[in-house]
Amino acid sequence: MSFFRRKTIGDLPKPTDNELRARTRILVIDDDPHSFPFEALRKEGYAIDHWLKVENLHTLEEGQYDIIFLDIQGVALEYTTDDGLGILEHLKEVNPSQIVVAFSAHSYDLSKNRFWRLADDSLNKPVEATKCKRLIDNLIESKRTPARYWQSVKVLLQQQGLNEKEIMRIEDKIVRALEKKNKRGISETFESAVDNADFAVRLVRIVGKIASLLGLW
Amino acid sequence: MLNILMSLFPYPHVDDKGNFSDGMTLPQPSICQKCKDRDCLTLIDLDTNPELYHAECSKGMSIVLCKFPVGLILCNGLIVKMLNSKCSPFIRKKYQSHKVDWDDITAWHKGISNVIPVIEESTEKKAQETIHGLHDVKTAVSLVTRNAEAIVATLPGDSDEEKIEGAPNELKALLKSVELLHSRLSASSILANPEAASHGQKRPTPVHKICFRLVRLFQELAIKRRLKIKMIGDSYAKPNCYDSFSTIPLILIDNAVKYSDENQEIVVTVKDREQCVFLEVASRGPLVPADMRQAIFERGIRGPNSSRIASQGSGLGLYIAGVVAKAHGFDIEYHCSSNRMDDTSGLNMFRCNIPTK
Repeated sequence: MSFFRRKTIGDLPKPTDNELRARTRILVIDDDPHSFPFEALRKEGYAIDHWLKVENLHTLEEGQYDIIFLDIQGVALEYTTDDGLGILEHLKEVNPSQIVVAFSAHSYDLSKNRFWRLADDSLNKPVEATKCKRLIDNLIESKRTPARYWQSVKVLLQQQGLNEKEIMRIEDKIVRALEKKNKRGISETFESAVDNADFAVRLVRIVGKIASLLGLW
Repeated sequence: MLNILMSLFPYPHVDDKGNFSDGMTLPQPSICQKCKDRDCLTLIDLDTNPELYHAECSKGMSIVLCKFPVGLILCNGLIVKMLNSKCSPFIRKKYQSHKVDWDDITAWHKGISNVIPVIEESTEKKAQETIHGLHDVKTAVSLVTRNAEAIVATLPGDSDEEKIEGAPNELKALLKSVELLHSRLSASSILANPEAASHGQKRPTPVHKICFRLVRLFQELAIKRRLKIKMIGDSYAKPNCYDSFSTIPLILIDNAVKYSDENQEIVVTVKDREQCVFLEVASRGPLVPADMRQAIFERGIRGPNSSRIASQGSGLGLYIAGVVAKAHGFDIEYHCSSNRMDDTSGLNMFRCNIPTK
């Protein structure tokens, strides 16, 4: 084994289930205040915020929330005529790793099928607290993983024309920066790897998800 | 839609099972009624390309295959002017009234083909308008659910299960009703939008646990109908299923409770088998006649014997269950204890194998 073995995302320490739950920021965007079991879930330790409609699109674009429960109707008409679907499409474009759960009573509506298909998961209203918990835990377990977030970074780097070897080199640098809690090192790695500064910011944001997942910052 | 079209069809026609029907303006000619060859049923390749296709049977009568977006109709017993060359002068004279112009058939076919999408769109719109009322119901049920959860939260116990276990019977009954409401609303959504059966992600699903809960939910209704309901078998496998899966046992058990003869027992079996979980709901009650056993999974079809026990019923439950099963890549099979046509009551068994791989 080489002394200078390249580090991978898999080398980072694994958080426990409870740590993951507490570190996962959840946002529910729904105009009906009774549709989601806020109280029951907050008592269980989930960090949940509630917006009656999209209050700040920039916050969503930046990926400040790890899981977003998004209603389809009456939540974003100020931003898009497609309402919840428009927001979902936009988020998937600017931040593909964002976990969005389609949360609506409109499962019967044939015209809304794209909304359900595009989302990472779905929850039909009305919903019981136990079912919500199950779905969130399942998402945390399956999608809130460093490997999944790194996969998004990899796809974006490949789109920029970087080859496998170059990406592995970047991964090594990023893992070392994460271990040293070196935010600046992460930014510099991406800035030197891609020409586009905005694109580098997107990549830093995704790695930020890994850092928050591991409780680094 | 095809049934409506057939009932309005102006010319005599024959369906894929060989049943001959009169047209709105022309009845079946006696030559076709008496015909033993019946080669009209096999003469035309149904996959043939043209939307209208003319052929002649062994008796010299014209057969016309009419294709529509909703299906096809085979008209028989016609003499299409200019195209029919086989017909003897005697038959031509005898069935004078069955002489038709090809242009008339073409015009009729074109008119109907144009109007079908309009009818479908308007029917769909009406159905969607009706179903949109579901939204208000769902909102109200959300509120009931939150209130029920708030009551449960005040009960002693560490977990929800413990709290519910120690809850008064009235509250337990209320919680069961709420759960049943959720399941029924989910089934209604699938009826309106079959794609809803595959919304979300597939997850490992404890089939045995779901059925056990449903059996408990239906216990009270079963007692009211003087029925016993029990569960047998062991299952530990958790096949990957969509959330909609629970609609299948819900509908099968609900139907068993609705259509069982009094003082009978409903048995729900869940067993692990090689690469699948076997689910069966067996009950004693009206049998489905042999010729209807496939049709019961179609929308709006009810067995004739079922109304003996439950006059109300829409014939939608098994359709929904079938849609959900299809979304998961398996079928629901119907089996019964008797194949005798005169038996109206017996053991009904609805079975499915839920793949675990």
